[in-house]
Amino acid sequence: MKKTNITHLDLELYTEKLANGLEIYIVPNTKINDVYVTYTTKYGSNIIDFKNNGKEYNVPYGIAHFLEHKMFEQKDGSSPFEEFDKLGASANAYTNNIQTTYLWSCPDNFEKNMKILLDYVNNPYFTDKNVEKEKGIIIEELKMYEDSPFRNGIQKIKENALVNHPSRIDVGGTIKSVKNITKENLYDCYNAFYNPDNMFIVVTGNVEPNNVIKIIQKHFHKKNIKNKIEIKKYNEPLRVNCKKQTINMNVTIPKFLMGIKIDMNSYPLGKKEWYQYLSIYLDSLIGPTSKFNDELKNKKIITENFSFYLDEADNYILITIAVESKCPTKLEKILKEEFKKKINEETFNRKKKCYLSSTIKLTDNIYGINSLIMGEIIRYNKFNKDMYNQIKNLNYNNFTKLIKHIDFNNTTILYIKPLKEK
Amino acid sequence: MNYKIEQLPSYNLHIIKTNKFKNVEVTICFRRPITKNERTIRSVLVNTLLDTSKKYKTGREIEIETEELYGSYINIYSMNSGKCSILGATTTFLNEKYTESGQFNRAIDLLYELLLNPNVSNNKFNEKSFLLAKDIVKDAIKSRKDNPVEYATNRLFEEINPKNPITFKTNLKDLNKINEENLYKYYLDVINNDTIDIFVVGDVTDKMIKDLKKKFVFKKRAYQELDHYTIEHNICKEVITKESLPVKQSTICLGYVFDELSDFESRYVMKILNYILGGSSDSLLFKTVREKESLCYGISSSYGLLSGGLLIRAGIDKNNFNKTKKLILQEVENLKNGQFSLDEIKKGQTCYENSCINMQDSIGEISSLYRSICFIKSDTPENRIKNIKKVKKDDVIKLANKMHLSKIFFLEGSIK
Repeated sequence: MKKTNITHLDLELYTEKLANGLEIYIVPNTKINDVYVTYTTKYGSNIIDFKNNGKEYNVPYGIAHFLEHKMFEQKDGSSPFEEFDKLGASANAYTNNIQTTYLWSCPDNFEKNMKILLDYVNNPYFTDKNVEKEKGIIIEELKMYEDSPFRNGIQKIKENALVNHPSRIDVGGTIKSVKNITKENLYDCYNAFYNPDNMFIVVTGNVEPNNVIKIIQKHFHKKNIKNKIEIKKYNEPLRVNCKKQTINMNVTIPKFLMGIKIDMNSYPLGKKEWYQYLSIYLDSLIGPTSKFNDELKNKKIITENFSFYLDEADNYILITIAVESKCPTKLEKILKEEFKKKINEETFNRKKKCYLSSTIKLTDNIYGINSLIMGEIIRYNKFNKDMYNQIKNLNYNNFTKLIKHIDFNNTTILYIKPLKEK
Repeated sequence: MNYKIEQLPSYNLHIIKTNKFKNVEVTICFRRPITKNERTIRSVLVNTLLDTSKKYKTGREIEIETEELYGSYINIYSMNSGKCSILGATTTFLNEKYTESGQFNRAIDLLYELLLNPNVSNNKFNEKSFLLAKDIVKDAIKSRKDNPVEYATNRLFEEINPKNPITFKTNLKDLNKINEENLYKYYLDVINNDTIDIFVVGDVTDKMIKDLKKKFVFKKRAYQELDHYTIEHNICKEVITKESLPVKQSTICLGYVFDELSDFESRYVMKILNYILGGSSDSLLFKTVREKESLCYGISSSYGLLSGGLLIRAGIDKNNFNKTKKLILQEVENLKNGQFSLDEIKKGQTCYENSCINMQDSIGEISSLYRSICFIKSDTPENRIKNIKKVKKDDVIKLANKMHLSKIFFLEGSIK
C-alpha cells in the first residue's frame, strides 16, 4: 500500500491495487465518526455502441442507469437496502454520463456493510419479470425530470449542441428506449464494464487503512475477465445540431439557456486546465461579482444570478449558461457581446484564491474528499496529490491565451417560455 | 466538543468549540411569534439587507468581500418555525490557520455590516435595493405553481387548516403595503425586540469570542422562551381535493393528524413509525407502491414535529390515483394492525442512532442541533439515543391508532 500526503490539506491518501485490477483509495479522518464508501465503474450513459472481444453491441439509451436500478435485485429475494438498514447504514447509487457509483455511509459495522456492497454489485440477477417491473418506476423518474424546467433545459441544450454523441440523450434514456431494454442487454453491459480493472473503491472517514484493504480482499471474490473493449467514436462535428429552440413549460418567468460548444484541441492545454480556466473565466465574466451581472439585475433583464455547467463529449467542452430572464431575446444579444471582453489580472487572482479555498473546504467532510478523488480518477485517471499547488500555479498569461482561442459564437440557444406564450 | 452558553444582557451566546473542521460558522437568530401579515415583510427585509449596507452599497460589493474572505459564505434568511418566525444570518468561513490572521474579525465585520449597518437615510431603506428586493418577493409569489411538488404540499396544509401558522406565506396584498419607510420601522422592531441567539461553531479562541461580543451589542432585553409548537388536530370532512397543472407527473399528498401525544410519542415513537411507514428505501410504502406495483419513483412519509402532522407524498401517473390511494391506505391499516416485524423497529432504532452520531460530523448540522436544543427543547444526541432504544412495538401500534386521515390533495398533471 502506498501512502501519500495531500499537500496543504492535512490529509493522507493510501492507495492499493489488487491482483484482479481493482484500485482502492483511502483517506482516513479519525476526528469524525462516519465512514463513506463509494464503489464506481467507469461506465455511464455515454456508452451505447461498443465491441466486446470483437462482438458488436448497440444497446438502448439509458441502459447504465437501468442497470444501476437493477443491481439491487438479488437471486435469493433479499434486498441490499434492507441489509444496510439493519446495520444503520445509508445506501444509494447514481449514474451520470461517465460513471455509475454505489455507495454507503455508516459510523460502524465496516466489514458487514462492505460485504453487502461487494456482494450485491458483484452478483447481478436479472430476469424478464424483474426487468419489466422496473420500467414503470424509471418512466416515472424520467417524467419527474421532464417537469423540472432547468434540468429539462440543460438536457435540451446537450441535445441541440451535439450531433452524434450519446450525451445528447438523458442519462436515464427516453420512455421509448427504456421500454426496449431487456435482461440480455443488461447482462451484456454488466459483463463488459463491471470488471475489477474498470472499477475502483474510495473509502473516506474513520477507518484504519490496513484493515480496509484486508476486509476488501477477504470479501472481493470477483475475478477479472479479460475483455477487449472498443468503444465507438462518434466523430462529433464542431457545428451545433440546432441553433435555437423555444419550448413551453409550466413556468411563470421565462428561462434562458445558452450552450457553447468548444473544441479542446483549439489550444494545447490539459483537460483539467481547460476546466479550471473556463470556470474562472465564466465566474469572472457573469458571476455574482461581475459588473455585467449587476447591470442586468438593475435593468431587470435577469431576476437571479447566472448558473453555468461544464460537460464534455469527446474532445469538446460544452458550457451551459442558465438564468431566469424576463427579456431573453435582449439577453442573448448582450451576452454574446460580453464574451468579447477581457478579464483583468486582479479579478483572475481573486477567483483563483476562491478556487483554492473551495478545495480546502471540500475536504472538510468525508463526502467532499471522496467525490474529489472519484472525480479525478474518472476524469484524469489519477489523483493529483499536489492539487493545491497545481491551482496556485494557474497563471494569467495562460488564461488569457486560452480564452483568446475560444470561439464563443458556436452556440445553441433555448428559451423556455410560459405555456400561454406560444 | 465543548458547549458553553453565556447569558448576555441582550442575547444568549452559544459557543461550541471543536477542532474537527477547517471552517468556522457564526449564526445569529432573531425570533418572534409570527402573525400572518409579517411573513411578507420579513421576506422583503432579508432580501434588502442582502443587497446593500452603508459600507457595501451593492450586492456585487458584498459578493466581492466574500471572495476576499477566501470564498466565505454569507446568507440572511427568513423561515417559519411552527408558531414562530426566525430571521437568521449565517456566515461560514475558513479558519485563520488555512488563510491569514484577522480573517475571523473580517468575516464577522461583514455579518455586522449587513445586519446592523444597513443602507438607510432619512429613516428609509435605500430605494434601489428595496425595489429589487420587492421584485424578488413578487416573482417568488407569482412562481408558486412552478414547483408542483412543493405547491401540492402547501395546498394540502392549507386544506387541512389555513389558519395554522405553517401555512402563512408571502402574498401580493401585504407586499403592496410595504415601502422603504415602514420596512425600516419593522427592521428596528426586529433588532430591538426579537429574541436573539448567537451560535459559534469551530476552532475559535477566547480572543475571537471577546471580539464578537464587543462587535454585536443590542438594546438590553429579557430573554423570551418562545413556544414554537402549533399542533394540529383538525380532521376535515371533505376528504379529497383535486387541482390540475400542466405538468407530466401528478402528485398525491395525504395529510394525517394525531390525537394528543406525549413528548415521548411525538419525539421518539413517531421516528420509528415514520421509518417503518415511509421513511426509508425499505419502508412499507416504498416496498409496496414502488417496488411491488411500480407505480412511482419516489414515495415517502415525513412528520412535522412542530405542526404535529404526518405527510405521505408520491409522484405518479394521473391514471393511477385510485390504485395508489388504495395501496397507501392499506399500508397505513397494516401499520395500525401491527403487521410489521420487531426487526423493523430495530432497524429504525439503529438508523436513528447513527444519524445522531453523524450529525456531529458536520459544522452545519452541529449548529442546527444546538439551535433545535435551544429553540424547541430537543434532546442532546446522547439522550436521543437512550430514548429511541425504549420504543416498543406496542408503542408504535398505539401511536398508529391515534393517526387520522385529514385530507388528500391530488395535483393532476394534464400533459401526456
